[in-house]
Amino acid sequence: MSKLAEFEGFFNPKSVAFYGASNIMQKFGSIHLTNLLSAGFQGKVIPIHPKEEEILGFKAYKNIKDIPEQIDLVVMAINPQLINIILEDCGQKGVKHVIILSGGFLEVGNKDAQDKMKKIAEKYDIKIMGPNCSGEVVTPNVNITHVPYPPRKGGVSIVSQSGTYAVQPLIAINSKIGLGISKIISVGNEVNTDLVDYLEVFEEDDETTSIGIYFEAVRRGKEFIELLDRINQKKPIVIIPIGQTEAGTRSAKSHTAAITSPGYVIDSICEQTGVIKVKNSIDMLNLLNAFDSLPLPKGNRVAILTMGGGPGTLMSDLFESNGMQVPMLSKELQMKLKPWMPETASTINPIDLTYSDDMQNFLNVLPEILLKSDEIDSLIFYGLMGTEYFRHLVNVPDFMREHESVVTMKNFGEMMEDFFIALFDEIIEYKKKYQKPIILTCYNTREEKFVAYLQDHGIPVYYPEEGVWTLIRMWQYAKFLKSKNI
Amino acid sequence: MYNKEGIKITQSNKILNDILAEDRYFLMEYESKNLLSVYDIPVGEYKNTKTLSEAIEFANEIGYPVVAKLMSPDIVHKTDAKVIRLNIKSEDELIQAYEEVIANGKDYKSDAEVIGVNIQKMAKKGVAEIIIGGIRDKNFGPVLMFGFGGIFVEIFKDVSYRVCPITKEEANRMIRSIKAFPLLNGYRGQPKGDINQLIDIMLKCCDLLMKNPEIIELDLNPVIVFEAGKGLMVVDARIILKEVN
Repeated sequence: MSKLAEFEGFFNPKSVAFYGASNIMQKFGSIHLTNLLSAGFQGKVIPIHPKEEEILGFKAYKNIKDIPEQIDLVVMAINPQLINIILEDCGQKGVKHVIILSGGFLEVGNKDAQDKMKKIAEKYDIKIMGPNCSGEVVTPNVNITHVPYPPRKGGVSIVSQSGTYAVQPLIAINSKIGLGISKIISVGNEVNTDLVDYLEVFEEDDETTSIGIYFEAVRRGKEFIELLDRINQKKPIVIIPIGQTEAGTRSAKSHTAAITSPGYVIDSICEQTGVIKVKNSIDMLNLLNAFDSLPLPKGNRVAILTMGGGPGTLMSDLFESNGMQVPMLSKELQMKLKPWMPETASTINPIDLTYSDDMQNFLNVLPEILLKSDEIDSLIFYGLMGTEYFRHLVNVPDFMREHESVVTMKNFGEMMEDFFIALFDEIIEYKKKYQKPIILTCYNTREEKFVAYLQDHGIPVYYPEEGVWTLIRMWQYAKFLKSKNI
Repeated sequence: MYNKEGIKITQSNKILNDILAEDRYFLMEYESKNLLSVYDIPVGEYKNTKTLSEAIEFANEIGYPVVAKLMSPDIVHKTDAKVIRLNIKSEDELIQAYEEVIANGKDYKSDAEVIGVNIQKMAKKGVAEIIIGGIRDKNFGPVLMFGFGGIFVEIFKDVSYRVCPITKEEANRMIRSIKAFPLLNGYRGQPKGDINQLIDIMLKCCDLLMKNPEIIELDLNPVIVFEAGKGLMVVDARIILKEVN
């Protein structure tokens, strides 16, 4: 059986039973059940409760063995002392996949209870995610976490030994990063499924295009390195290793009873396998997003198209001090750009418009000239405004609101929406047509509709420096593949 | 059937088991060199001599200048204990040195057991002095380290690491990735070091670490790299074993 098929119950359950959901909404189990429903889950949801007949509108059962149909997945968010008892019931019922959210096992020194759990699971051939984990997200319709922000479907899969880093970034994905997720797995104490298992799953999974790993200690180190080495040649892997200082090591030990490896060991693994290490969770998500949605750069030459000198200069410095080039454009190419730019603007690269209100030139005409040329391998923009800008602009005191000029501005802002969308549709086309990475940068978030529109259509939108680092690391990966002749 | 790998393991197991049987978790230098020899890692000529006359006989056999080092299971840091004498040029000097290292050993630790005095040839100057090290990581197993000796490792931390096993190409990249690499590669008209042999020995060290899980730390320091084609020599070696209890 393929690894993916073995884990099918986690990823594509037709029926999910919940222990710990009740009619009290703020209970952890209730939140997980609700989040599954609001993600649009189409299968059957069955609460199990010792007293209630009905929970949140669903018929409840007292014991899983009373449920007539087959249960593909069980979720447990209950007192840890009850877990092994009900796990035995689940085994007798024929359940093969269980997510145990509850803590209170090896991480607090309760080895006996965890060993017992492992034995029961072995007896009934049950795969357990957890215990002491934060659940999973499987797009489009499974969200068994406490975070009610299901992401859009995409190719990024993440496996994490930290529950928080597995699921809480969903909030930032929802408000800012907008990346597309395939699977997020929180492995917890890894009683019988671990990081290595889920990496094998991601390797097989056609929906997964890029992989993020957050880890403290790896229980099967040798297999882990072999997998990194093999998978990274097909799907880029980004890691965040943690617990590499004295305080970090102490924290990891009390967190998941893990003994971490020193930084130089992790760095050497990155050298050997080409996986990319980043230092913070946002960098990881930004990079995975770019890997999922953009073609890899074929060379290290970047064009910077900017509405402002500062970002252009900072971006140039960052690129050039990290192995990329911001080359001077040829006379011919500059001549092609010039007619579409203000008199005061610089055509050399960075291509700095200083300020232009001609969005069509900035977003379509100039980018297409640049992307078409063989002098650059990727394009980064700085400086965008959208309709939210106008809404904030006309948020004036009441007595001004009816002023003719304010009304004109308000109407203009609303009118702009379709116009912008048409320009963005062109950019989305350029990416396909020229097969070069395109990144937009600005200080807006998904509150601004155009940011959400672009991100949802596979054009990353970042803060300026985030965009630069993302491209630098994409080139690092592209270079690694070249060195392996891939 | 003749099995070279099998013999290696039997021989190295014997060396390590004898030491562990004494509840000892570090190897004296001659034991380290015995173990390295099993893996064909060049350590030069050496002998743990039990008497002064044996030392003189061996020194005459290999020729002066020689080095004398006190071997004691109670002295891990030989430099601190002043039990090393370098560049001994004659029999007279050897007689003096022999007594001196024993006396210094007693001064350092009055009840230190003396196993013998290791006599080895004073190494010729090479192109560079390097370090090959190894540690055992709790998650990923043996990790090999490469760097230049002295201030390069102590002050500049100019070293590279790889998780074992490594390929030839990886060992090559490891050597080339340190900042001081030009010093091995014919900097300013100096001769080039024997990089091929260096790679070979690094791979052998990986093999040694992987086949002997008892070893948690390996420190070949210094290792002299001679001109291309002339090989290397491990001058001093420290090996630490995992404490069973």
